[in-house]
Amino acid sequence: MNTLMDVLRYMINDWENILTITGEHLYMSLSGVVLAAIAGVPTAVLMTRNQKLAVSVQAVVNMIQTIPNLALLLIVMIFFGLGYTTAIIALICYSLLPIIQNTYTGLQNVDPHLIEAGKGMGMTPMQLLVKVKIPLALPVMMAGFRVATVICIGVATIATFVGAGGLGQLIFRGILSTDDVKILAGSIPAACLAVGVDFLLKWVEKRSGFYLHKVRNE
Amino acid sequence: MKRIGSFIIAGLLLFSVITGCSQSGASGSGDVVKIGSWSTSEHLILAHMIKLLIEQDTKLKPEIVEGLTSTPVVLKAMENNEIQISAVRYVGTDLSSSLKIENPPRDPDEALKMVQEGMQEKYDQKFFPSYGFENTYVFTVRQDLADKLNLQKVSDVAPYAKDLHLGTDNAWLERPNDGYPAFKKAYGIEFGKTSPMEIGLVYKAVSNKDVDIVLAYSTDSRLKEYQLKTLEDDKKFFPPYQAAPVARNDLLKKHPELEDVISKLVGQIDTETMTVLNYQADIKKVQPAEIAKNFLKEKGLLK
Repeated sequence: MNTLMDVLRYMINDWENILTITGEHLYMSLSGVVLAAIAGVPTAVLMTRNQKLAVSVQAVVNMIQTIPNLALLLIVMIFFGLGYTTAIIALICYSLLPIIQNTYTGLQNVDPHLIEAGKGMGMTPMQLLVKVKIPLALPVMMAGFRVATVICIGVATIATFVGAGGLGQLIFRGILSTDDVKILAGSIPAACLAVGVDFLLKWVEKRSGFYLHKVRNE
Repeated sequence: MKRIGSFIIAGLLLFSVITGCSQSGASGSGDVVKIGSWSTSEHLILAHMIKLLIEQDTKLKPEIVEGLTSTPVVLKAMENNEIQISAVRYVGTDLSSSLKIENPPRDPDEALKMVQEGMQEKYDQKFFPSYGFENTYVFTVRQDLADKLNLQKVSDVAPYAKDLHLGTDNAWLERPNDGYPAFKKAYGIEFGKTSPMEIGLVYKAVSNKDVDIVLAYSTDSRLKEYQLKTLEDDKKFFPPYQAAPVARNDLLKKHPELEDVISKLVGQIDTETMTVLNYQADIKKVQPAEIAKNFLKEKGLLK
């Protein structure tokens, strides 16, 4: 309980710094997820049309996920140097698996009858994708985005090793100076971010459920 | 469709706002000088000292890039001109890791001269004369274990090594010329079990009996705080590790005044002083920036 009070006091005293590094943390994590989504969703759509591509992309994405995060970060650093770019590229790599996998699975599992019905109504492949497949796959896709976001917020704590700041800065300062207060002052905001963003995305997911309903009723 | 469309637009807007904010703070060239530092108190304190002096004496804008864990990372960043100054580098480390010299000289002056020439030629960087302190590796045990086994120097450990569990920083086990492989050869000692970890954890680990012997940093105030016994390096295995700042030559050429600014710190901090400064940070929990400011004011270097 005492430590918790100390943590609170530390956070109040140093709020400006904590706010800055929390912002950096959020910026890196969200950039990673958004960019991975921009690259991942179209890839997954292509994968549903080409079985060979699907197999090879899955292999690559799975392989990336098994590289230890510190190693990946330092490999990326050799090419992109210090700072946000390196950190964000590493985060994109870790977001790809959940985003691609969930989008692909979601699209694959759309009821074939509904696709047939769409075709019967004379929909073009693009209309079929945008008006039938994606809306129906959206809940599964959203789950992928949520997983990716939580992974990113976790992994972003080591971005400090390539000079990109973030909450990891405070956590590792704490570890190096045996200071539990600093460790907690860095990890509590990180945990809150993960829970908060996950909650927000869950809300979005629910809204997308309404949307789905509307499409069905139209 | 409309709802999703507007949602995406809102998301993109938010994203660009966040991007804009962070970018303006992070980027910027011209007169910014970036000082690379690790996250230990020693590095942060010295980085802040350099930062304060540059702010006072020049028109440059110094920024600290912290968290750079190992010398190879720092060296790479310096070569790419992503940082221009490293706050602290150690003679012995650069001799064996950066210059790959297999049997570095044991004489401190000779070693310093060698590293200065080597960094100049191979990396075009100026290795300044030392701050005045040395931060070497020391083998450290709990006082009760030292009493029980009668340990005074590293050689005394040999008969018990098979049963001892060693804790070190992350790099030492892999370091080519002053690391574990060379140590095994020099002393003929091989520990039963080794655990690399963040250096900040070794002190607690040994005092909690999670490990038996640790390779600590000699300027660390936690050696005293946890009442640990340091063992003498009787075979003089470790090269000298005087600490000094390093800067890129092109930066010093472009801003000649910087050389004098950084040189103000040369010879100002002896080993005892550094230990005291580390004590204030690690045990008294004073912010490194504060410690740096107070020290410079005391020395009359900062108005």
